[in-house]
Amino acid sequence: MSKKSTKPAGANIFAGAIEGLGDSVSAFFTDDEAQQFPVALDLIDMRPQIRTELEDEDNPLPELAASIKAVGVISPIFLRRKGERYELIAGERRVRAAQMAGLDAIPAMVRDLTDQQAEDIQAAENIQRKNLTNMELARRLQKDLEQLGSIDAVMAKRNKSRSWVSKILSLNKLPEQTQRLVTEGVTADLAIISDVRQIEARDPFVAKELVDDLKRNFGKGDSREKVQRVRARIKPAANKAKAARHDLGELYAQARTGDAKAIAAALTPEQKKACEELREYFEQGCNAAKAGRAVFEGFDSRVFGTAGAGALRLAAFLRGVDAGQSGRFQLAEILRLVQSA
Amino acid sequence: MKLGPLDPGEFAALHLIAVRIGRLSEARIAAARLVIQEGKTYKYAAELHHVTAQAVWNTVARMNALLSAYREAKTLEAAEAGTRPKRGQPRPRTAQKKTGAP
Repeated sequence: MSKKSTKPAGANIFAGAIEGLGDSVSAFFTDDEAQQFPVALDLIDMRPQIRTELEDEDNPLPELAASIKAVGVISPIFLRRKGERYELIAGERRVRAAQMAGLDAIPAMVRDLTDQQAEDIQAAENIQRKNLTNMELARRLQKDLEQLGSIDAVMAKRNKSRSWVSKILSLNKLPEQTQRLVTEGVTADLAIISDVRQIEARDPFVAKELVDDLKRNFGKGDSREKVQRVRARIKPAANKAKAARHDLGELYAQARTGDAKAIAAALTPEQKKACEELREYFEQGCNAAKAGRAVFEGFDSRVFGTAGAGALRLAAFLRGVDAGQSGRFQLAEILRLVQSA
Repeated sequence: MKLGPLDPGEFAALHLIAVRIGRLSEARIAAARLVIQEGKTYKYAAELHHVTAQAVWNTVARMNALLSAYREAKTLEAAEAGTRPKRGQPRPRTAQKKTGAP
């Protein structure tokens, strides 16, 4: 999946040196115009990088420097000519580690590039690295989960929310086309990855075409919008749960400004149906022995929220807590509660 | 736990929830608000609202825990709203699974 798997055994000490070199980056340098030769480190100027973090948890800079000191730099950095000097395009960690290791020169591939090309390469490299980082993180979290035995323990160890942990863990189970987004360096955008996964679940062929298109037109137009359009086209008009959430969302918006009693009296048939869900939460509130715990769990699982359908569910639950076991479900009361928050 | 200043909207929402789930009195919540929102001491808030400092401390701790969950939910909703066209409309939740209990 990642470039790591193609490396020969024993090359792991160079993981940090090679990592981050996306296909799209090397493609710019693997033609006849590119020249490879050692370049003096003091002739290299750093181009402002998108990347701000040079540290790598798995391969810290001092370790990379130590391995470079021992066996040299295996993978060349990428440069472009700038008059008598060179500008760094990709390989800042290797340059810094080489400086740290006391080297005078570093093997480099050199090509003449326009500013736009240089920016494109840096962007591609960053996307590739971010993808690899996310995938590695996903594998690390999976290991954590196996060792610690529960999501809660992983959340505590990483000091992250349930939602973040589940989002990252889900990268371990990407279907074929969605995985291509990551492995082929198309995007690191989790929203796009999530949408493409949903598209692939419905129609793998459409997903393949979409990923090909995204790859071909990298950097052109709004990729999120494109993916959302395909997703909207391919998803069934509305499933039950989605429709209910939509209706509750509308009801919430009305409740924020309108008269609760009037709104409750003029529900559309769809809203009436959706309100059955609120009754369920109201009843849970009526019978809740540990209401506090239920609210925290509701926020955590995102059934409860601060706006929209989630806020209405929460209001229904709280109204139930107020009313107690003999309470009677009254929508207007719930809407009033939403208004008062 | 330091969560930064509480805006009035947040306080109203928290008040609504806390008074129900925590069975907290209005006096305790008002005292906790003085500590959280206005930076008053526990002792000052307790004396002003005729409750014990321990009760204020407990209430502040519960309100802070609730505020933390509330803000996390709000942040996630805002992040989702950024990727979806309209606020308040349904959003795909890959990680969410509705269970029997909220």
